Amino acid sequence: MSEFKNIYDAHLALKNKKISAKELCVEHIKVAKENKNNTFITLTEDFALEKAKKIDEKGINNHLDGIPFSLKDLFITKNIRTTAGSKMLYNYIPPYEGTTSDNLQDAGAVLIGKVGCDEFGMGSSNENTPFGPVNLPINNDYLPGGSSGASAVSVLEGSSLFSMGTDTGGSVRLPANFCGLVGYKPTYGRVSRYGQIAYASSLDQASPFAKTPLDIAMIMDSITKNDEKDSTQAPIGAMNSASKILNNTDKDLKMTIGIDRSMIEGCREDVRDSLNQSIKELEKKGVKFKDISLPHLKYSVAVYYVIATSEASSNLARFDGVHFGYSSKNGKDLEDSYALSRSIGFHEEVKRRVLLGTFCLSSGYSDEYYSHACKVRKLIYDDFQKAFKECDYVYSPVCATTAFRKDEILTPLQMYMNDLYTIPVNLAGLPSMAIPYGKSSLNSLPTGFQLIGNSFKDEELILDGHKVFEVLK
Amino acid sequence: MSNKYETVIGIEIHAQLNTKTKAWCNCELKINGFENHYVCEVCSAQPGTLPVVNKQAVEYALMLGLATDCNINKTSFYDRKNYFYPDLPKGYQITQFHTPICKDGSLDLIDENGVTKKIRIERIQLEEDTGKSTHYNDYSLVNLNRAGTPLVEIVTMPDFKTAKEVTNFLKKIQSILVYLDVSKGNLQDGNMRCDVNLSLMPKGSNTFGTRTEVKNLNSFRSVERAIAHEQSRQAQLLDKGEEVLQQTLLFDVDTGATRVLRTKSDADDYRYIPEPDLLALSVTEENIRKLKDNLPELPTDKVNRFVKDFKIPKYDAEVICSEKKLANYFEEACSLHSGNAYKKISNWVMVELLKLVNEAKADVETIKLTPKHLVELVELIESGKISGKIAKEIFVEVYDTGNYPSAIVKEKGLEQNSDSSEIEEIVKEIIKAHPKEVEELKSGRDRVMGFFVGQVMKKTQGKANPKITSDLVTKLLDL
Amino acid sequence: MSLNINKDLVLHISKLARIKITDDEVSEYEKNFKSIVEYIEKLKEVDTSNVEMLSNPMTLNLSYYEKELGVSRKQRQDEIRPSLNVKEVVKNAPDSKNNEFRIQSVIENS
Repeated sequence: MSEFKNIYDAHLALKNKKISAKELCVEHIKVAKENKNNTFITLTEDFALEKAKKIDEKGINNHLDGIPFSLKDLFITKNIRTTAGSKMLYNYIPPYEGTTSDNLQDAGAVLIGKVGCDEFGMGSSNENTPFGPVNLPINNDYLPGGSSGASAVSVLEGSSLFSMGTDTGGSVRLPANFCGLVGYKPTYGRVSRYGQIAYASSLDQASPFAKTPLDIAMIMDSITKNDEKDSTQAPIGAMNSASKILNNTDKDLKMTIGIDRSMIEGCREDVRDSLNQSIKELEKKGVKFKDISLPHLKYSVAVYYVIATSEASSNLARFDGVHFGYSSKNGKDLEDSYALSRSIGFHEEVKRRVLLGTFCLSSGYSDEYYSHACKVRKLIYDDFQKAFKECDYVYSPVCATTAFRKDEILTPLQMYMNDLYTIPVNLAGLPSMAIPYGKSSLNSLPTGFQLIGNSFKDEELILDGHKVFEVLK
Repeated sequence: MSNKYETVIGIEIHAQLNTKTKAWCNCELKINGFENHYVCEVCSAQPGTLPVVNKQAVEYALMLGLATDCNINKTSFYDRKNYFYPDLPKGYQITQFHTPICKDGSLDLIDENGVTKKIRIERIQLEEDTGKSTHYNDYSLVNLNRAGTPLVEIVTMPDFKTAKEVTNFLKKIQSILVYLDVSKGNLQDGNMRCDVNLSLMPKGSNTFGTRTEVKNLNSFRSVERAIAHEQSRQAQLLDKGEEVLQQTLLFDVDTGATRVLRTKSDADDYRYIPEPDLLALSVTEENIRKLKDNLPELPTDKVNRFVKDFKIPKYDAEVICSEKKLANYFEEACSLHSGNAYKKISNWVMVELLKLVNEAKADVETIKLTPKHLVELVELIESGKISGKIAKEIFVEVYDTGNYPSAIVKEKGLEQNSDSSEIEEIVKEIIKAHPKEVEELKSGRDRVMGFFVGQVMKKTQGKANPKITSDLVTKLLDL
Repeated sequence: MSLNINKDLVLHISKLARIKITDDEVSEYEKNFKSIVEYIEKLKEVDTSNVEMLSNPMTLNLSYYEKELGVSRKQRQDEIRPSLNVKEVVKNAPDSKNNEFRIQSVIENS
């Protein structure tokens, strides 16, 4: 493992010429190639070394110059295989560059490779993929969570200093929580989705994993530029949060955090203890907690599975074996080939969600399910807006448990319920930071919580998240 | 068709917009270019791509809405229509299902008796065209140059009763599209297509029967034939007491019959969903006002202006204004003309010019006989330099060669003879040779005058001035 | 539960979604569907009269931003930019011929 714990440390070392970008890159590639955890789908060694060389020649200016990172394989990388963790795109070589990959490389970051995930981002365990499950490095009997599990693992195992995942219903915050990392889900519309393979377009958001909120700030500053190719991204320009953190001298935690205590009650005992401890400590440091009520959040999972699967059924229609992707030649006619290509190219969970979404949108059911779910979604959004009249942030568990054991077998519905606490944030389009805190008394695995901010309060949330993280360390 | 039934028809028109680029990406619109050379990651639906609205396409749809008296929705939405087809690479079409950009418009049709009928337009929505499949024996090839071409779909209320009304409406829409310069509006080239929804109901009833939809009609003739075929097919079914099924049909140009594409309810479940990749389309009062102020003159306004400024009959103005280029031609001619023989100009345009242009399927803008040529010709007649007969004769030559009428007249010596003494000699000869006709004329049979003028013309190869000739006959016979 | 999830419905949906499922899978999906749909049914207890649909949170956020910051939603100028090289367009196609995507015969119906 690299001697540098985070981006900022590595940046200082690079800047002071204690290490070269190439040396840093080689260190991380070495870990990646040991392949202890089945993290990577595609390694981009030559590409990375060449980039590192260029950075060394150019010198270190940006925070991300020479910083090794990985991308969830849902991010499009021009001329580098992009699989979405699916057999469907096993050999897909994108003819264009995605915005997030472009922005990060433009900022000087060095792409080490593409990491695994639940196929098309559908799952909470990183098991739903033909590329095989990924280990939780701290205890191989456990899984890192999903769908961006391998992204979290790449940071934890030391093959990357940060990683980009995507968060549709908790796919970054859940693995961050299970791995003891910081995961940040930006406001919907803060980061361009261009070049991010869509699962559920109105919920998906590119989201970074890193060791600290300061690192998150450095990443966010680089990926929030205005992108004319995504009409749903807010045209408000790049953030400038890292320098604000670095220049800030005010350590006071003058914030009011709303909390719906019934949410904590729903957690397993070890998690509950840890959460209560974090609240106590924050109160000690001057944070004001205020009881709030979010009455419609209990419907989140149901709303999510209607809306996300409906959108997915439409988003995944382009995978028909005509223009790209897996194609079966054995159909008796074109229609049959479509159905064969899709049933062989997609894994079980994807098929289940596409079928469910098709059902939710089909004639006769659409009003009852899809339209109704969108209305309950508005009520969830309104719950949060009401809360933000009384507090700056909302405190919430990330998951009722710690990481899942490999041998746990859950029904699809039980699996979906694990996202109970993360989903509301996506439905309301809010920013949220998963902050690690403490360890489970049951299995010593990481625990933590999330701080949810109001729409487009990303900068404030990252600054305050940094303060909270620092006092709890 | 038996006249037991009343026909109820509504139509849907798809028109490709005249933008430079596609609806959601910056690819050049060049449908007939080399296969797949006008395609990018967006219009080939590569994973991870997103659409961005073409501002121009939105403006064009708004202009059309304003020209057809629609209400503009200040906020409209895009939806996805989901279906699998190889020339639809996304697996869905982006359209406007729930809230279109324009709604509740209308257009007046004026029939040959001058009776006005209002056809209501239910909605105008923005959407996109598909790619194109070409079919071979054992495979098909897909070309995406056309995929993502911006379209407007105009949906009417079921206000038509006859095929004639439908084609008149189509022609009217076509001319509006061209006047606004928002679409080429050409049925034959496929940049405008028409679907016909038709049902029958017993005369006097006001409950609509089950309708069928005939898709993708690409000529006025096909529209008429398809309507006639559906009218008699449905009437026959109803006569036999059978049910008309709600079906989507295709019209076969070779047989003149329709065949079933699909029966509603089986595969026709489009699972509409709001397009999450595009935000609501918002239009401000100011946008609308600006567009309204800059709207080009529409056919109806031009007709009224021509009637007022050039004192031509409304019928003439309607014919001339039905085509923008023809109206421009006429107007240019009138502006070059120094007199006020506008009606003469309109006659020449409507009769002689249109005949030649239609025969040659030519473009009025590029023919050799320019407005300047036409005006010169009319003025030669007006000033008595040539006769109308001569003018008609040289018209074709001017059309074919582009030589000026005055030059042809001069070269061939076709100028009208107005020399009284020369004509007088000829008149005298004719009088002498036809004593019987002289008697008839003298006894008051005025029509015989034509005989004398004709004879003089024959003798002079049409060059004698007919007015001078008849005056001379009157004088010499002392009538 | 008001809805009757059965094999026919599952097969109908699989046809609509162009996903082939085997006979064994039908009953498995039927079982999954039943439990998930039963769970989703609980949404029906929420009164949503007079509630508007929220299909994309940016719709609400952007109207706020338009008012507060005067930013306008993104639209594209009608300017031509280069398309992809045709080889790039078809390079991922399972089958192609003369720069076009090749597929099994379809009966022309659109």
